[in-house]
Amino acid sequence: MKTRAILVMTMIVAGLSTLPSPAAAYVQTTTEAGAPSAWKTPCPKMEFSLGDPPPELDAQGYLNAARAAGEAWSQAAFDGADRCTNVIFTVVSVPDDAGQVGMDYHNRLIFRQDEWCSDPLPEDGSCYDPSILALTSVFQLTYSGEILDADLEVNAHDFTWGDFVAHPEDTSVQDFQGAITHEFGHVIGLDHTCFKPGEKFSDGKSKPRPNDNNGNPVPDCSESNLPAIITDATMYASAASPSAEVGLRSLSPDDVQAACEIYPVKANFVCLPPSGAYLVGGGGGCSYSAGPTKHDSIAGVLMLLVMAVVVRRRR
Amino acid sequence: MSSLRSIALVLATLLLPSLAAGSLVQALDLAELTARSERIVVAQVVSAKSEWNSSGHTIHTRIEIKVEEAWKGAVVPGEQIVIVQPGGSVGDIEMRVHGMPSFAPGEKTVLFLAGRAAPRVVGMSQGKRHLRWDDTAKRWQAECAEYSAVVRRDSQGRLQPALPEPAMGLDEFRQRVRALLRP
Repeated sequence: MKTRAILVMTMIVAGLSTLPSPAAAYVQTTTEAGAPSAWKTPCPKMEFSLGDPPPELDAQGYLNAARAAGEAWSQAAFDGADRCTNVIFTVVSVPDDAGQVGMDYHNRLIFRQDEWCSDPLPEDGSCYDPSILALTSVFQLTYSGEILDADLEVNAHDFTWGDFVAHPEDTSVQDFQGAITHEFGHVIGLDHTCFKPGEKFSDGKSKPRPNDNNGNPVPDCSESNLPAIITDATMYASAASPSAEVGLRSLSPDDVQAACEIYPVKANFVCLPPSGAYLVGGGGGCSYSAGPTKHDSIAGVLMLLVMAVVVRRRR
Repeated sequence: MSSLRSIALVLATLLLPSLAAGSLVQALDLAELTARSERIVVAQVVSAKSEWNSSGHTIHTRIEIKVEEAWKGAVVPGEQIVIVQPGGSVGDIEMRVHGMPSFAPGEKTVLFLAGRAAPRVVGMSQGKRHLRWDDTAKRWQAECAEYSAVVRRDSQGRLQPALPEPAMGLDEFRQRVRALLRP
């Protein structure tokens, strides 16, 4: 009886695993031209403006939280296995007045405290809607999908950001690390897992329904049309962790799959600047400085070993 | 029994969901959307043009709409409103602002707008309900808003993913909004 039950369960599992499961997958952002969005090499260096952070944490606390958010993606791994992605997030602290959102090959992470508006204020004076907690802007090449620049703005004017894990009693605080982990998913080119019919590009062409990584069409966002698995997904996030926000701190298996399939581990991986970054600053100077990575170090050591062997053989 | 537990675990793992990615925005139900809006209109998109800002650092899209019905606020049918929002595409460069609604010329939509001098869509994509002509039912259908970036606060103040307001016929949608507007 026990064997039979196991057999039946195994067949169910096997059957389910072969069924199309659009929600149990990830979706990569695509450009208007349909190109999948991705970094040439996934080494986004985030410049975190921390000259005058919100009072709930000190600058180091926010920096640690953002670094932990980056690490969640950089260390993406399936249970117990080695990391399976080449994503390397670097988060560095910069003075508060360091820069603005824009296509300048500097990836910013900015608190907006005095007003929830872009800086400088747009010509028409419009600000962001106060219901927005955090905003991610990604600059990419339309024809190739290469991501060139990504900036995050956090609304500290209408919301309080802190460490919900350390202070779960303070229900007015949003969990900064969880939110930034979530936003970093956009920075590496991840998109929504459902599709809204009728959406069009600015030139009037209808947006095509994207496929997930399994080649299945992404389902409608419409509640009535959602497969149970998607509504389960939303509920899962509510039920599986004490707080969905805090739950955002760790990646779901689909997030891991996304990081590891879009940016798989490759031998001799070297971080390269995005296309055109060498031209910024005029005269062909390079403004990009991702800094040495673990991979660079390993590649460097291997290169030295090879050179040592070659030199020794020549002797 | 432990084998069954293992299989159940495998099954659960296979069905593990992913949380949709997006900018993060507070869920606003229809009552909140209506209350926060200074103007609520049914409108047709006349044009949507993207351009670099004057400093050449960011792209914004200038959307011109023509009002067909006014549900709330000092606005009349035929009036034209210009919305400027961050993001868009110019030449080879695309600035994607996750969670912002997209517009296309000729599109018909219900819009919840705030800001008189510089109108914006309330609650990012939540404040735009695309209208689709349902040829079978012979009526306009207000589609669901794009909701992947939307979260709500639970009774303990924690953020939870939110489900979209359901799609419905335009007539029913109009009635619901007008009912909310009654004193």
